[in-house]
Parts: sequence; C-alpha cells; structure tokens
Amino acid sequence: MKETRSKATGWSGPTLNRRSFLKVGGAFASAAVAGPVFHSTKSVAAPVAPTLVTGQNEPDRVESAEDIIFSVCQMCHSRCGIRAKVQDGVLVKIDGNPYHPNNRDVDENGEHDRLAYGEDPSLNVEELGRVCLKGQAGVQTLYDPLRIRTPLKRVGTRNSGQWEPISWDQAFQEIAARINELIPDRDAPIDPDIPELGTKRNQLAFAPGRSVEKEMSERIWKHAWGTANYGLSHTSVCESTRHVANELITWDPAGNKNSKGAGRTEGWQTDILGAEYIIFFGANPLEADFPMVGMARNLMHFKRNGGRYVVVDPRFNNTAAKANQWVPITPGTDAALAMAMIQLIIDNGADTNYLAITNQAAAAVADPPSPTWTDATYLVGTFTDGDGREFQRYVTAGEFGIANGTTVSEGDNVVWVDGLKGHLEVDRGTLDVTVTETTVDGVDVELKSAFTLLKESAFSRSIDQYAAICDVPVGTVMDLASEFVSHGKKAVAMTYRGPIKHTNGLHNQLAIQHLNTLIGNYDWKGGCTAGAGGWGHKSGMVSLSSVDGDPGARGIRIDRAKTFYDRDEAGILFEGYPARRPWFPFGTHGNYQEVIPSIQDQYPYPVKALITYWNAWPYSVPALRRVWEQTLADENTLPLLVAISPVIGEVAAWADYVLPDTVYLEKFAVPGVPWRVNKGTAFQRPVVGAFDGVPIGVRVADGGLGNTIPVNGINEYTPYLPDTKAVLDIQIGLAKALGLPGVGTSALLDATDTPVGDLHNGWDWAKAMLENIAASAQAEHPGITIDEILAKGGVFDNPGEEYDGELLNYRYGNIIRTFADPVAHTRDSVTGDYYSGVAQYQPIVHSDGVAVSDSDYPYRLITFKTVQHGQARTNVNPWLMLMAPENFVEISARDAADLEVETGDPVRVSSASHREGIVGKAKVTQGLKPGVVAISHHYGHWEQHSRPIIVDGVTMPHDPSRGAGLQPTQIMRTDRRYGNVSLQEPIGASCSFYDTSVRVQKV
Amino acid sequence: MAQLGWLIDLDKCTGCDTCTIACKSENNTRPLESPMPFKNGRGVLPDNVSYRWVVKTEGGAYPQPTLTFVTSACNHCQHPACLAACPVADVNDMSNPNNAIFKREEDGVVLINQTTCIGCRRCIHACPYGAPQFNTETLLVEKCTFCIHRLYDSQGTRTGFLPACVTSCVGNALHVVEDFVADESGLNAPDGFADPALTVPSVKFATGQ
Repeated sequence: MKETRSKATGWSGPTLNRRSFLKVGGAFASAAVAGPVFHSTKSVAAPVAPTLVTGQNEPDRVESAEDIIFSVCQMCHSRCGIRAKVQDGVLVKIDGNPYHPNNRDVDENGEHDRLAYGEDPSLNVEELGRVCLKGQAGVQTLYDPLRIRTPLKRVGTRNSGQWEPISWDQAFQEIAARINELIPDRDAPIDPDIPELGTKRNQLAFAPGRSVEKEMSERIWKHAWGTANYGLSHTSVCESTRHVANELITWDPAGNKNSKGAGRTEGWQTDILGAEYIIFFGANPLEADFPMVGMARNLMHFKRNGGRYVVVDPRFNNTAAKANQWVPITPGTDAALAMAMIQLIIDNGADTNYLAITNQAAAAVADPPSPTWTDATYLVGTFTDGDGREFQRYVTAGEFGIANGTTVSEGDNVVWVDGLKGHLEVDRGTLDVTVTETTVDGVDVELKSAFTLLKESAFSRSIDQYAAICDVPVGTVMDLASEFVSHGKKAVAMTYRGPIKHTNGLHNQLAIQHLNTLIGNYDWKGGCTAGAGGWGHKSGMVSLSSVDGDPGARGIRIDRAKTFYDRDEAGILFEGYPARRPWFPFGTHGNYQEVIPSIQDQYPYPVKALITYWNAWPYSVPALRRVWEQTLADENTLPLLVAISPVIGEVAAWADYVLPDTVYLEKFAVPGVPWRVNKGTAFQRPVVGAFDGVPIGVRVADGGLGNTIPVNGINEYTPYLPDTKAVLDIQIGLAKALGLPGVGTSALLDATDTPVGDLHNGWDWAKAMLENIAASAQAEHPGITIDEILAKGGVFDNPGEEYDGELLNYRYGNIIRTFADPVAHTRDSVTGDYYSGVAQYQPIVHSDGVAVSDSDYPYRLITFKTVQHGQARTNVNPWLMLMAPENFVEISARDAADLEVETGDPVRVSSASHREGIVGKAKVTQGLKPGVVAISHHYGHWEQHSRPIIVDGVTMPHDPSRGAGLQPTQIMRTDRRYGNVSLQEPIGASCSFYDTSVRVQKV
Repeated sequence: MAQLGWLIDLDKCTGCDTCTIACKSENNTRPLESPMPFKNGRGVLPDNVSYRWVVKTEGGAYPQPTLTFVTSACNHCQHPACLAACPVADVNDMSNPNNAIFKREEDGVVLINQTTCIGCRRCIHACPYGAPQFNTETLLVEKCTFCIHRLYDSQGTRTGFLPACVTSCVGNALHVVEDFVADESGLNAPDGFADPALTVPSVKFATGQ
C-alpha cells in the first residue's frame, strides 16, 4: 500500500481510484482469508477452484473489530455518525455509528436499539447503524480521481483554467508575502474619519461556506490575525432567517450577538417519536431536511404507531408521497395559512392557561408544572419617535412607578391584573387586554398585551381572505387548525427552508412557530425540542479561543451584519435612508450573499485578501454568478483570492492560489449533533492516511495503527493524497507564515492563560478538543478517556434518556416570546420604517418595500433538494449521479398543457433579472402546484472538473457528467434598488430563493 | 431446506435508494467512476449493474397525485426462471455450483457463477423482476447474492450480519425472512408485481395500516 500511495504524488502519477485500490486490497484479501466464504458450508461440496458469484469486483471482505473506525459524515449537514470500514488502509465501506442517535434509535417494535454507551465496540462488530445513500457514497468523495493533488498557482488571467503546481512552502510564503504587501500597516485604521470600520486587519476576510472547524478558523482569523471578517459563512443561503426568528422567540436581552441581546436557541425541532400529529411547512424530512436518516426512520415509525402528518409545500416531494395529507400552497404565503390557523386556534383550542403564565416560578407551580412560560401577557406600548414614526416595545415597571425594590424591579415587564403589575409579582396576567389612559414620560401611550397584538394581527384578515392569499381551501384551513389542537401537547408545526427563503420569511417562521406556542408544546414529549446539545469541546482543559497576543477583532463586518445602522454603531456611515447598502443588525449568522456585492461596491470598505473554504458562492447564491465574475475579473477590486478546496470548484476556478484541502474523511472536527432529543458530541477523525508515517486502517499486526490514534504521539498527518493538507494544518501553516500568534510552541492556553500545549498540527488541536470533551463528560460518563471517545466516535447519552415522564429530558426551560421586542424598535436601513415585532402575513417585496411584480413572467420558480444529493459537491459521486444523472425543469401538467410542453422537451427559463435564461429538459408532473416551476439545486455545475483544466501545460482529465443539468440560482431575481444582490429578507438576512417569477418557453 | 427471503414493508419505504447504494458499495458493482453512458459498437448501453433498486411509480392527478416506492432485487425464487432459461444450468440439478446459475440447497439463495456464465443473457429475458443484469465490461451477467459473504463465516456458520441493503434501510422497510414459506410468496404484492405463481419469489410485502 505504501508503494502505491507514494506513486500517487504529483500530477504525473497514476490515477488512483477506488477500483485500483480494491485490486491491491483484493490481493491482500485473498492472502488474509482462507479461501472465499461462498462454498464453505457443509451441505455443498466445495469446488476445487473458487467460484466467483458476484461480478468483476469482489464484494468487500467482512470486517473485524480492528477494521472499524468511527467518525462523522459530512456529505450533507446531518453530521451522522459513521462507521468506516478500512482494510489494508483502504476505505471500503461506510455504515452508521450504532452509538449515534441519528443512526440508530428504534427497531421494528419501537424498542430502543441504539448501543448503550457502555457497550464495548469490539464486542459489537455486528451492530451497524444506518447512513443514507449520500453517506455511503462518501467513499467516492475520498477516492475521486479528479481531486487536486498539489497546491496550485494561477497562470495567466483569473479563470483561465491554467495552473502551475507549487510546493506548500512556496504557497504559504507567497500568500503571506502578498497579504503583507496588500495590508502593510494592519494596525492603521481603514479610514481615520470612520473609526467604526476598525483597522486594516478587517481587509482580510475568511469565508467558510460550511465550517465545522470554526473554532480553529476563529482562532486564526479572529483572535490571531484580528479581522472582524473572520467567518463569512454560508448560513444566510441556508436557514439563517429561521434561526433568527427562533432567536427572537427565545431572546435574551443580556446576550451579545448584537447590542440588543441574543437568542437562547436558534432551532426548534420535532420530537417525532413522541408526537401524534405533525404539520411540515416547506420541510422535507425524507429527503432534504436534516438529519434525514434519523427523522425518516422516526417518521415512518410514528406513522406505524398511528401518527398523522401533513406536508404543506408547492411540490409533492417524497415526504408528501408518504404523508396523510398534501397541502399545495402558493410559495411565500405560508404566514397566511398560519395566521388563519392562529385566528381559529385563538377562538378554539389555544392553551390560555399556559399562555397566561408570567414567569419561571409561576410555571413551576402551574398545574401541570410547565417547563416554559411566555410573554403573552406582557404589555407592549406603541410610541412615536422624533421623526413621527410609530414603533412598539415592551414597557417596564420603572416607567409606571410600580417598582418597589422587592417583588417588582425597574426593568421588569408589566402585566395587567386589576392594574399594572410586575411580571414577577403575579403568576398569571390578563391575556387579552388593552390598557388606555396611561402615560410614559408624560405622553399618552396605549398598551396592549403581546397576545392581544398577535390576536389583532391574526384577525386583521378573514379566513376567506387568508385562504385566497395562500390558495388553500377554507375547509382545509379549518381542518388543519382543529386537528392541530386535538392532540394536547403532541402536535407540532415544523418548518425548514420552504417558508423561510422569502423576503417575508421571518414572519412566516414566527407565524408557524407560534402555532406551537398557542398549544404550549415546548419541552413536552411529542412537542418542540430545542435539542439536547452535547458535551463542550471549546473550553475546560484548553481554551480554544485564547491567544496570547490577540489583537482583538473590532469594527464593522463587510456584510454589515450584527451592526445597527444608526449614529451610535455606524458613525458617519449613517447617512439617513436608504443606506448605501442594507445593514443587518439581526443578521446574527452573517450575510453570505452581501459579501461579494459589497466587495464590488467597496462598501463600507475595500477588501484586499479573501480566503475561502468549502465555499461555492457563485454556484449556490441566488443571482451572484454574474456579480462574482465581474468582481473577480478586476484584480484591483479584489487583489487576492485564495481557495481552500479539494477540487476546482466554481470559486477555486477564479482563485490566485488553490490550496488542496482533504475531504471530511481525512479531518479532525467536532461537528455537533443536529437538534435531537438525545445528547451527544460526535468526533470526526481521519479514517485513512497515516500518522507519523504509520498507516491508519492497517492492522497493528501488519505494521499499522488499526483504528487507534496514539494519544501521546506527534501524529503528523499524511492524507490519502500526500500533498494535500487538512484545513486545520493549512490554517496553522498560513498563520506561521504570517508570523501570527496563537500557533506554535506553548500556544495553547487554559482558562487562566497558562500555556498548556503546543499547536503545530491538527492533532494538537484535536487532542485539546478531546481533552475538553472528556473533562466535560465526566459527570455522565465517569472515567471517560480520549481513547474511549475515539473508539466510539464521540460521547453519547444512553438510549431511553430522552424523556422525563411526559416531558423531554433535555429542556429549553425558559421564556417563549410572542412579541419580537428588539426588532420592533429597530428601523430598516433602506426604508427607514420600524420593523414589526408581531407575526403577520406580508407580501413579497424588494428592499425598498415595493412589491415584487414581474408581470411578464407568469410562473414562480422554486428549488428543492432531492434525497440523492447534498448541496454543491455530490456531483463528484458517480453512484449518486447514476441515481439521477440530471435534473429537470418541473412543470405542472396543467401549465404544460398551456405551454404545449411535454416531458423531455427543451425549455428556456428566464427572469426579469436574467432575460437570456437557462435551458433544461422539461418534466411534466401532477405533483406540482400549477403556476409553480421547480428546479432542483444540485446540478448545472460549470466547474468541479466538468471541464478540463491545464496543470503544468498538461490537460487534466475531466468528467462532463459532473456538469449535467441546470442550476437555477443564476437566474434568480435581483433587488431593484441594489441591483448586484438577490432579493433578501431584511431581519434574518436570508437571501430569497423562492420569489423569482419566470417565463418558460419551449425552445 | 430453509429459504431466505425478503419482507418489504411498503408503508415504510421512503424511496431514498439507500439500499441501492449500500448494495453497490458492498458489492462494488459498476460504475465505480463516471456514470456517463458507455458507448460501444452496439450503441449506448446503460453502463451500470445494480443488484437492488427502487421502483418509483407516479400516478393520480393534481391535487391528488401519488408516488409509491418499492425496493426490488432478486427474489431468490422457488422456481427461478433465470435458472430454467440458462443453457449452462441443469434444472434437475439446481444446486450444483458448477451450473452458471444455481440455487443453494441450504438457504435457497440463487447465484450466478461468473466462471461458467457465458453471458448469453437468456436469464435476463426470463426473469420477471429484472434481477440479472449484464455487465458491459465482463460481458457476463450478475445479480444479488443475498450478501451471503456477510451471512456466513469461513466455517459456514451464520454470523450476526445481514445483507447490506437491510442493514442500511433508512425507513426500516426491508427485512430478512429466515424461513420463507412459499405459501406467502408475493403476499400483499403491490400493483405491477409479476404473478407470484410464475416463479414463486421469496418475497412478501406488508402494509401495516
């Protein structure tokens, strides 16, 4: 194996792929096993010559304990636990980690079948968990024959497709020199007149599309280099608005995501196994939602137990196919349906006993005791600012002189119970109340409870009007509402991207989530869970963010996230309304789609150097491709682009340097466990390659490490392609070349800033995280060691620990806010209007508030994810492409008849922002709401080795199948005021995916 | 003689094709590289071999469309039509492993012997389920082996392992029946399933609700 691996160095070496590995592996296999197993049974006389009963390739050799290495999948964001089967150093198969709650949960009879944490993995070789087809295909991500094998430097102009291979040392030195040349005076202010911008350190930006290694990137770029742009990550193309709405529902004014606070949780998920009735709004747990494997298994078991679920979605996806009911809805009108349901539920079925609880102590003594309480009774005042604009906010006890220093403090919320009372003073407040003839600072202010505001919003339209907006029959709306309230706490309304990726997405999420609030299902078995979380890896033994010499990242981010557009925070950049570009004070997850347009506009400052990781900007982000190409074509606008990537993707194609990253099967990380009712911290580790030259996955008896890592070793890592590097090592290398603190000898510090270790390589970092996890998990798993964490792929709770009677065991246990107070006294940076803090239906609008109306474009474009693919990278997996080699322009049968289009016909799809459009094959379907056109989001790559590149003058192999199909993001609607960015949701900072009107023409 | 068989819970199949890919990964079936169609003198041939796949059937009309999923593979029939059609197999000596297609006595698993198969493809035409598939590189026919290499150890003793497709089934739809009773062949079969009387397939279906 070693010899084979050494031949793989450099571009002139032989193409290594899984098949050639297997041939080598097969030779080992036949030597190691005493003959094939097929004919060894007693009743059949074994022929002399072994009989091959499968095809040209033998099946995998059956594994023994030493062949099994637990790690974490990253083919999508479910972060499943994987059980990699590695033989003779070759990854031959991927299954699920039987300790991981995503991958084992219940058996056919509903009994727990996840391995208890105390079980010995070596005695449970026959216990496999499940991973989906994408996870299984990860083998092909690792052994992709077209991966980049050495660092590359651009030859000629950007995007010329020509590269020169260089050494890592040359790459690090040249990149560091270029950064120092571009930013020679990094501690000078960007603009002395605008101190709010911070120093020139901010002119270097690090943009991880997906980053499960963010503790390292934050250490290097935030704490060692010191840029405010240390993590321009992808979340705003994903679900950031959903996160932000959930943060507003759980807002803690003492938090520090922005200057008004932070959410206590960003995610609600369903306890599927405990539930009886679920309404999925634009969520597709059998395909695209995550973690699909766990959700799908639980959902099928839920159905078998008599559970009923509904899918509200314009498209009839696999989840809808298995649903009890499909409700095709007009895209972007989910809040209309939800507000109608709120209206009906307020009239009949809301848990008013729960909603009236005012505080934690009152919740504890309620009957039944309630883990959460709400702000529904808190009084909200409507005020007028100096510009004559109305806004709302909670009023406080101090404003009415009811603070008494004992049961009522100045800052307490105010409720009405025969007069104004502090929210801690009474167990329950009046739910539906309007208080007039009150004054604040001598001005008359009308007070309403948060519940009354929600109710008035819900009743601002009739059920008929709401039904007409969302195009759902009135009878269906009424049936959904009545069924939703007939299951006690065991009904859930759950969302994913469908309702969220619209300009009105925040209110869609608020409205739908408050269906749950009205029945008070939070923390109850069968209700909403905030997730059980895991054991901490960031601190304890080693404080991962502590850097001796941290210059302190300060100043406004390039995407203007988390900063308020006002004089206090924006300084002289506050120029009235509209702002030069929009600002996103509640964009607590950043704004991915604004980065490149802002760099193009050099607002609020120019960026000189951009380093990307796992980033597919022009491919993934709506309407960005053209702007990306314009921006990158001008080296004065962005002088340096470094891409960390295992392939030449759509970003790397324009880079000045490409640093070949390893794939997730060659990395250390603590990627987290998605929102589940079980607690866990999974650990990702390399499953192939070598530490200190000793191969991983080669048995100890054969001179390898087997499935172990020598905890006290140096463990310098050599990946499968030896001239690639894991992202941890790449960042350490860049930091050393730049002379930054925070890396090197004695760089790791504990909580008292005492040096506790070196940071020379990925293992130093991994070991620090493992030490933290082991320390953190001692209480539940006494005596746990790093070796045990590695042996089991992480730390997990035990099956059966998810419930505490009728409650979830791991609880949120805090306030649920129906009124989004911090946004209600914040002005939009474009319109100057105050946002509303009350859930409501809103139309689809441009940033200036003008309705999106492209009347020449009669169809609404939506996208979707199928189960076969992840986001932007699974086109390199032949098995997955085989399942569905291309995508289609899906058109409803009714519309296809109008257009005289049949399945297979080429059609052009164009928009007001992209009049030339894109061409794809039509697929006529009964499973789509008429008026809607659907195109999946995995195909139509123009890079990723779908076309050849030239390295050192040699044209490299490519695979045109990787470019099959079409990618709809590039035709999505741009904003009418800020023409180089997509439509956006202004509060949660999401880009819009589903608000583009299109024309469809037969070609 | 025991007969291994399949139990497919139709309600629980989510159509994800994890079984398909788990099988490909376990058995290393084509393609391992590009999925581009394979061109040769006989035109463009599908250049893949899958021992298991999911049949997806669309029906109904908006707003009540239907989409059903049925996982499918070799059913290791009591009376394998493939074996009967094979010119290199003796139906009167079905379990002889030197047949190009043979049916194991101890568990009823039907296998294609790659050493004696001549690639004539008669089995492909005979099988009502599409199980035998032609490999465009070896020019031989392959199909599902019930993962017997996982089911038995080198001494021929049953292990605790199950076929890769069953192990990985996301929805818990696919199960092994250890002692398949021929009387239950095709029980609760979905629409379009071939008449079980033809070959007596070792598969039955469940619809629990």
